[in-house]
Amino acid sequence: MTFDLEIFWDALTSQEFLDGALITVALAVSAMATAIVFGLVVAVARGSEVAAVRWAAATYTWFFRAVPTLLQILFVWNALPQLFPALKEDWFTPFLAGYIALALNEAAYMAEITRSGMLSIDPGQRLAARALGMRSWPTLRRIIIPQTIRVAIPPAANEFITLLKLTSLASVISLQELLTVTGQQVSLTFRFAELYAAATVYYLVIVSALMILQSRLERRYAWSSRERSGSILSRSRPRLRASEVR
Amino acid sequence: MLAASGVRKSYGRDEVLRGVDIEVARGEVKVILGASGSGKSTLLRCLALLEPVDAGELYLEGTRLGVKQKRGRLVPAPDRELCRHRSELGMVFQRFNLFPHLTAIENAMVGLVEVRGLKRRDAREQALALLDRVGLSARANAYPSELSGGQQQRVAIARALVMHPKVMMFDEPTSALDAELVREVLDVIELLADGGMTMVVVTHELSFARRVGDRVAMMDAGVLVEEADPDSFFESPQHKRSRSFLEAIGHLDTQ
Repeated sequence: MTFDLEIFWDALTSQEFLDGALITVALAVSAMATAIVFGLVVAVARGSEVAAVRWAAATYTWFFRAVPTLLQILFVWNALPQLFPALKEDWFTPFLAGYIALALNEAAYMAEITRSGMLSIDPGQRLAARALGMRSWPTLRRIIIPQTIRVAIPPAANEFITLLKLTSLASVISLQELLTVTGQQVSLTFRFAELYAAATVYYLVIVSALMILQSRLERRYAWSSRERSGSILSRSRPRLRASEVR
Repeated sequence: MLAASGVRKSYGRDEVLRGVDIEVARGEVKVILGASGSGKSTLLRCLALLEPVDAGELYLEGTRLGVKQKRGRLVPAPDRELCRHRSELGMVFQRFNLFPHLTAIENAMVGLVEVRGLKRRDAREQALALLDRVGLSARANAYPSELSGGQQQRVAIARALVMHPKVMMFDEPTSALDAELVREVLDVIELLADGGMTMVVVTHELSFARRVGDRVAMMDAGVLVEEADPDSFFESPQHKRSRSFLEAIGHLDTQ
């Protein structure tokens, strides 16, 4: 058998694949958004003056990075309802279970990325903020976090791409995400090449869109009017800093 | 205006300040000289409440800093109060420490908005006036990475000044600058001094110290060894450490 373009195209444009892709993206985006916020909280907690808070944050990142993601997903879907019967209701869907597990899991990794971003900030920054009389929260909000974001964008984008593919683990709890749908179609028609190719195209499109977003975000956080307006060509030429010219 | 007595500070086993007494009167320009490791920068940071002291007392306009009375006992002052005092003690760092993600004007404004609670429009107005005073109103929208060292330091001075501090402290403000950029920063500092600002300046710029300073204090090994008016200090230093320091810099009795 050879590659049948018509089958490929039908799969690519089918409602099943589209729905599967939408669920995949929705799961990844919602889990990531939560993970970013929660990861920031944990990262800040790592630097707390209260020892118990520091310990709790460290334990969190230890536990949720150590346990395999698949196990966490299975645990939330199967084991939690066993422990808390309230979760046996219909509202506890595979999507919700997948979201909880992935968000908690990803938050641990985001906490470490955020923490490393904060470590990379020159201590003189906090010193200068203190010298002005700024208290902890305003310093965090206006000085530390913006600079952390800039450093954290590339590794965070990396994490998102990984998370996007981890969503396929949710197939074990029968979430109808993209790879699950692909597998179902394959088991019906056995057209491996065309169906896998169609799934691949979806992943490529999603990740490409993310990379464009990442580039926009990085430009927004480049604190120099030149880097902001630069086209791809001008950015590839080495630029002299003002202090080197004067 | 600003006074410290018996200040001691150690970093681990390293005793950097071994009982320092210093007083700065209103409108006085106190210059602190000393070799590397003499403790002069540490002293400045302790005076600015950026480092806690291990022993000793600090006073600003007669009020004891860092502690408060509570039911007859002395307890560490709450963070809120410490921050308030810090905002009254302006500090300019050797490495500028400007906020790289904010433009010059935003750097100057941030203290007013976040600490004094000013509306952005009012803060911007005051910040622009200060940038103008240091000669940088034309570069208000530039980011620190687009400014020269001298310009960055002047923005840093404006940022500290905009808070209307009672005392301005300078920690080797020109040591990180290329020679030709030193002048523009010293000019700004001299202007401030002429305007009657109370200042404590740690510097290696001896001719500046002699011209602008009201009193010169020499630090060595964590202790203040000598204090005198500039002419007396530079012409006939009394303490042997002062003499060897001036000799080492090659400055004995010239300018």
